[in-house]
Amino acid sequence: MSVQELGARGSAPEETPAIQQTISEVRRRAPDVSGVMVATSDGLPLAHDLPPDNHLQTAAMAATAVGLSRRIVETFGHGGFEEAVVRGRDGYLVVYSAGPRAVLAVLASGEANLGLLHHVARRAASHISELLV
Amino acid sequence: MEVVTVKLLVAGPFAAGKTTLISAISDIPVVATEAEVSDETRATKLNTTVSMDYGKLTVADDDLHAELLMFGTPGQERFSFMWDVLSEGMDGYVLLTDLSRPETFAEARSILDHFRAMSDVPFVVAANRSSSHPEPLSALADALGLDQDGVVVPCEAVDRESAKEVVATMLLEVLSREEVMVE
Repeated sequence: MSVQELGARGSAPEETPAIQQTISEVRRRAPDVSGVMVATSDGLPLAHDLPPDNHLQTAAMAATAVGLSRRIVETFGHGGFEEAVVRGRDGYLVVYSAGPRAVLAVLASGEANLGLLHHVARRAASHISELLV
Repeated sequence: MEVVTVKLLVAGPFAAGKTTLISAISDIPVVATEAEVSDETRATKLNTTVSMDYGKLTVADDDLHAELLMFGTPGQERFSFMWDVLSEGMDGYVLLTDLSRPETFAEARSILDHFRAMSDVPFVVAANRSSSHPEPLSALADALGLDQDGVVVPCEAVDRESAKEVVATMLLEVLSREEVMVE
């Protein structure tokens, strides 16, 4: 599956190819991942490899999950937000902070190794955060 | 004395003033979830709610003690799943509109239609920035497809007293239905 370009912001930012490469890297290194989304903190897609029919809602949901999680972490004085895991019986959605401007969301099946996923995705999120400074 | 807890939603288009309204009347610091706007709507405002706002207002007199729990929704349609999530168990909702931006009335209509299809709890339409834009409220009511019985309240969301009028109107609508849980 090819990495889709964003459409919602009109023109793609110059960092988009590097972000797409980071997304491919997550796919290559973490097994059982079914989709990766990098969205702006206000819920618009920047780059992803999801089917086009649900990428807008995924971007919005990723921003919602991160926005609420940030607020929860703040409320309890737990420092800066890093990630939130949403686990269902058959799969995960994990959202990571990728700096103040972006969020990284990874969809994975229930068989995914969460430790490995975190290892790969945290590095990717940190890389995206540097790209978007 | 009657003691009631009422869950109110504040819905409405992007930049209508939902977070402002809840902040103006909440007795507690508002739990807000804002992110920087990244698209062309940045020209309208810099920050936007991505998850929810939460505030609380106590209204009390000799006969009634009401705890109003106010939940603000994100405005953009891409967050409509949060409208459904937050409306769980609501007793009523305020549809906040910006009277100075008639171009947003169609969007307000589609939000109202979404909520009316989902729930038949009472609602109040609030027309923000009404003092600087004294257009007749009938144009707004028409755009929203409301007939005579639709309640439209003019307001200034930044003003505590004016914002309180809106939720007081909402509260009366809710109490008149007598569906609120009395503790």
